[in-house]
Amino acid sequence: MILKAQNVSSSIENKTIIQDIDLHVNPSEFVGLIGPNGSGKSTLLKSVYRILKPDAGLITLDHQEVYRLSAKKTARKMAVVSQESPVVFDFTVKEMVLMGRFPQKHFLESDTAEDMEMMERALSQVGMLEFRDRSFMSLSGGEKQRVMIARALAQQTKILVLDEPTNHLDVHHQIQLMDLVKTLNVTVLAALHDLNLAAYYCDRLYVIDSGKIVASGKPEDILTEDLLRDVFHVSTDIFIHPLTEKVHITYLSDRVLPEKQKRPISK
Amino acid sequence: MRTAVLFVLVILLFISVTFGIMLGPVSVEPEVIWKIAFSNVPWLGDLIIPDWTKSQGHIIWDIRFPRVLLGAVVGMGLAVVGVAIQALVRNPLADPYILGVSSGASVGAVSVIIFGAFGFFGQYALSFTAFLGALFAVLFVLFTSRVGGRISNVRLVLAGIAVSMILSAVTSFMIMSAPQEEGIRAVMFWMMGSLAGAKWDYLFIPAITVVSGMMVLSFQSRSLNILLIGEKTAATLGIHIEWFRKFLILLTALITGVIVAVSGAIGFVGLMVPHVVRLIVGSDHRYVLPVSALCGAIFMVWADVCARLVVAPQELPIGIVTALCGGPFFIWLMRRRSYSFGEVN
Repeated sequence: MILKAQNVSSSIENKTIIQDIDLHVNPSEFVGLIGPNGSGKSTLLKSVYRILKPDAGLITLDHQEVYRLSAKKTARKMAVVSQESPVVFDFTVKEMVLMGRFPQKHFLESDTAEDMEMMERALSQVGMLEFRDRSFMSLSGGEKQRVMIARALAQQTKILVLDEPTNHLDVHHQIQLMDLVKTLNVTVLAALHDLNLAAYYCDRLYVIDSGKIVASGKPEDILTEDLLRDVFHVSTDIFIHPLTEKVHITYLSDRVLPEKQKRPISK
Repeated sequence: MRTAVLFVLVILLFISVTFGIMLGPVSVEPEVIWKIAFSNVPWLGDLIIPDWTKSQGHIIWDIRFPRVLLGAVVGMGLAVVGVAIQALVRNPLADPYILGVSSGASVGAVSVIIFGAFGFFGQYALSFTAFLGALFAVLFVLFTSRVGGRISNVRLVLAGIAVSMILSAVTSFMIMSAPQEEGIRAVMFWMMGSLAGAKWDYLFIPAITVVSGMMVLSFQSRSLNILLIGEKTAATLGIHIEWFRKFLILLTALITGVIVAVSGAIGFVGLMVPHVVRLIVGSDHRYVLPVSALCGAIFMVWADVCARLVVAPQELPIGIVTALCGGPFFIWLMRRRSYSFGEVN
């Protein structure tokens, strides 16, 4: 087990946001975290990636307690791609990715041939090698996100934490990004907004609602019409898609649904 | 290419310093300047046979040398602090005075110039109280911007503006109630910034502070780069954000406080030089810091030459020169499309 959270409770400005969370991620597993807005997804991830110290509970990475490790030591084990405010000053793509080497650097150490090699490998993994000398600001949203992933890869960690990585991306780039992460064969914990995307790519899901885990397991076992109604307040039609053999969710709305198809929605 | 830039700038700085010392009412040959300089170096000095007059020696060594070197040190310090502050608050409009340093120093300086306060410090009263005022202002900003143990960028900048406003009001009030007219003129001169009256004695502390401060900042170049990307990313890449920001605030306040204490609040250098430098070498602080230091020094030496010569035998406050050169240049820079000034496109 690479990452484990036990009985974690965190609060922001004295307001409890998540309570008694248990979660774990096994090696080379792709674990998704889903939940409505304000459910505590982000808070949970922040607690995991060492930005928000929990009030109670234990988070371990590789059997070591995260909050006992230094920021730098944590950064050698866990790489994070998060939503970030826009970059203020421009860097080249190469420089951005090389920043991922920071946790491994000693005081005053300069970039070695090894760093350069890792930067190039990470960029070619995300298909951005030919962009290495471009300015980061001139990239499109999808390209920027891929550079961020490359930086996380250059960190050479055991686990990758993604905080809503596909936000602000169009369908094509969402799928491209998820494909990319999937093919990298790394251990991933990702907060995701799109339920179909989560069902399609994740090995296991945690559903969080009002700060508590309400369901966890394989997508096909836990994503039910009842759960989605209770947690996300939407009526859905869920089936296994014949092509993908994965759970597929269709959202239904009374306003749009043809009259003959309407069925009483039990509350 | 970047090493070449640094090399060219070092040579330019050397030439600028030579010219800065040469130019003035009493003209001197460049080689005489450096002969005089070497004759003052212990041990080495005896090897040089003096072929200059005593008064030349006095003007060059005791008046012009300290003044030009102080200009170089002040320019270097302001440029370097400008770079660090812009990274700290992630705001391209930030300058070394954004956290209240200059307004705090003004209160101290004005109370000395007009009311003769702190007379017991003797000739250092002005510098010392200016420094105290600067440090007090920044500490006040630091504490007022802490809410719930955290300092946010926006609060830091807003607290800096608020404290600056309060302290400027105090300064204005003191000027209004000044008993004598000359006092007001002296205050105006000080607030615009000036290198007049530089002595070797005044050079030592600023030089040590600026050079060591710059070295400490250079050690943190990578961290500064990462800080520019964003706090969350910086934290997940292994930087202890709260500690690092406090460290930056105090270090930049210390450097700026020392500079303002000896030269007054010289504007524009700390804002303009970092932008110009980023335009040339990109945002990587490993190059931005040294290149800014050299550019700031060169710019300040020439600005001081203008301040001395334009209305000779009178002198202009150097702040007028930096603003008059800097303003139009900045507008030109701003209108170039290729530089974004941190704007999101």
